[in-house]
Amino acid sequence: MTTTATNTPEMVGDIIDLTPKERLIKKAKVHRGLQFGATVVVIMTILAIFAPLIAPHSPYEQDLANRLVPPVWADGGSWTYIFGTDQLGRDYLSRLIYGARVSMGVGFGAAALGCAIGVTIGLSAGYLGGFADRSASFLLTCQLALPSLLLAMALVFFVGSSIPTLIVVLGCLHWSYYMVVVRTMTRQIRALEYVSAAQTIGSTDRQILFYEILPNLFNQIIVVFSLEMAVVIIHEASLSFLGVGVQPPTASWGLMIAEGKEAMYFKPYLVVIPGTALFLLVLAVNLLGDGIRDITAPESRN
Amino acid sequence: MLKFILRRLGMGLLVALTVSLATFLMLNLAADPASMVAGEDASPEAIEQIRVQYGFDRPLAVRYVEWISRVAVGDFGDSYYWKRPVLDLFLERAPVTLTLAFSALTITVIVGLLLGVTAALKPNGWLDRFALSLGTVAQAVPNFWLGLMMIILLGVMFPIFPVSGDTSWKHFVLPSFVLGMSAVPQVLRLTRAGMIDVLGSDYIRTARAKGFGPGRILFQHALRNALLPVVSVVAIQLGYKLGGSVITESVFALNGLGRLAYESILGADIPTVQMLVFMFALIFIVLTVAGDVLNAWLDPRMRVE
Repeated sequence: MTTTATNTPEMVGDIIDLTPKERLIKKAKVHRGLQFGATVVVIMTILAIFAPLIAPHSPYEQDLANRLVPPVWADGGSWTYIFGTDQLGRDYLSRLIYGARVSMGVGFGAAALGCAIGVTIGLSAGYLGGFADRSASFLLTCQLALPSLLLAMALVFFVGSSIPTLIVVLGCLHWSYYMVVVRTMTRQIRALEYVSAAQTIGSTDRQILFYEILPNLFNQIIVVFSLEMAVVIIHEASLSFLGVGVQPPTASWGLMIAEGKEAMYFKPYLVVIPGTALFLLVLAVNLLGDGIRDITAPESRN
Repeated sequence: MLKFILRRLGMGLLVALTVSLATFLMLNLAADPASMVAGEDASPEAIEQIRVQYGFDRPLAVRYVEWISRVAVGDFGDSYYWKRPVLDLFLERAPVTLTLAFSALTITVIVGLLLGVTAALKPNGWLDRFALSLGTVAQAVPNFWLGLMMIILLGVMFPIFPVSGDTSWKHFVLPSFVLGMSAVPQVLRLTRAGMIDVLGSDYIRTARAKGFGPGRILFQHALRNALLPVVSVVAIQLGYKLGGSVITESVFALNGLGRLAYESILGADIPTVQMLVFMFALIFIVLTVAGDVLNAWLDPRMRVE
């Protein structure tokens, strides 16, 4: 995503004397997208972790006497069920809060796995060069050619739909972006003088990779991590929506949309509410990633 | 140039072979095909019988070589579920998906280019901010949810377009829009960046100095050069649209390849799934190779690797 330039010339002037940390904080304070993204991500993370403490009802308990109660703002709604209930009389707000667990968990897990794979391949390709680099590029071309959503659907369904399966399959299919970024950066850093200096004083390849190169890639990896996490969250929801991801009665936003689809013509909130939650989370994760990129980019860029 | 084309083709072939091997291994290792064909309640004897009948008892390597050598002459085998050659199924369903993919791509390009050019006219102006925010929002909207929202809004509350089926051109309006929107942010940003770059260059200043009107400078001089990177992305996007058709077709009940993929996955129909994954990958490979060759033809610098 292109940067929305936020630092004006006079601001750049007075941040030159600051330490890097102060500079980051100063830039973060004026970056609205970053603030919004970070706030929403923190709230969703808290909801996901403390779901049992926060949810007002059980997300699984059915109450057939209270089916399809509309949300509080509609006619016939009550504060007992703020977001109403679904076709089985389960509290929609509680299901939404538990759904954050699935989205955040799968998103974080799969992005982390993809990160581990992509960074490993990218580091080896960029550092070793030659044959390793050519093989990695070939692997990348093959990975990009595969229709990832279709393949993920088939693999998750064939292996048996469960959250660990989703994490492994989505993680293994989303490493290419990390690899491209890490490979390019590693090649650039490898050619720098301080790396030659480290080689001269007898550092091993492992020391150079982990102590000299990897720390410098940290910012870029975080940015890619958040952008990929957003993609994975959408993929999980899509798979669950199509019925091959998270299985009922587990609450996942994609699954909630699928279950609400039957009644969406006369009860649109069943589809609107989980969809909005999904949209907000993905938007926030993307804005957070863009924000981190903007504030960590070198001054000259903007 | 000929050497370049041959090298690209060779590479494409190698990638296609690797992808076919990976697809075959992943799908056949993900589950025991015999028990999937037999169904959930099948007895162990029935599963064993199917294993022998379908040849699943032979080593994977043998089965792969048999599959790929048949694929090479255009025989993808028979579907377990529909009991027909899978290639026939593919050809039957392809027109719907191709129509969908091309019309979605047209929408992507028109909307993306318009927004990108408008945004680049005055970087950081309000139009630019508006276009970029629109891109950010469009990127975060899940495709299937956008589809459902369109169905509620335009299909039920203001019934302008039909929301399910594929019998007339009207049926394709909403699905194409939904599928098309997903790639708008990418085209928008590429066009914007390219235009800002080009508009600041010397030859545009010369054109202005010569007294050409702004419209002519924008469309005849600038856009042409800003389009180059967009062209290669469009080729790649066409490949993605085919994959993305799985979701759009099931939301709007179009009977195309995406629907076929969905049905064959739920029916554990490995030959069909295998063929679709491989075909989508193959189309993607052909498009990227064609894009590379096109670029090399347009710009000789690209011929050197």
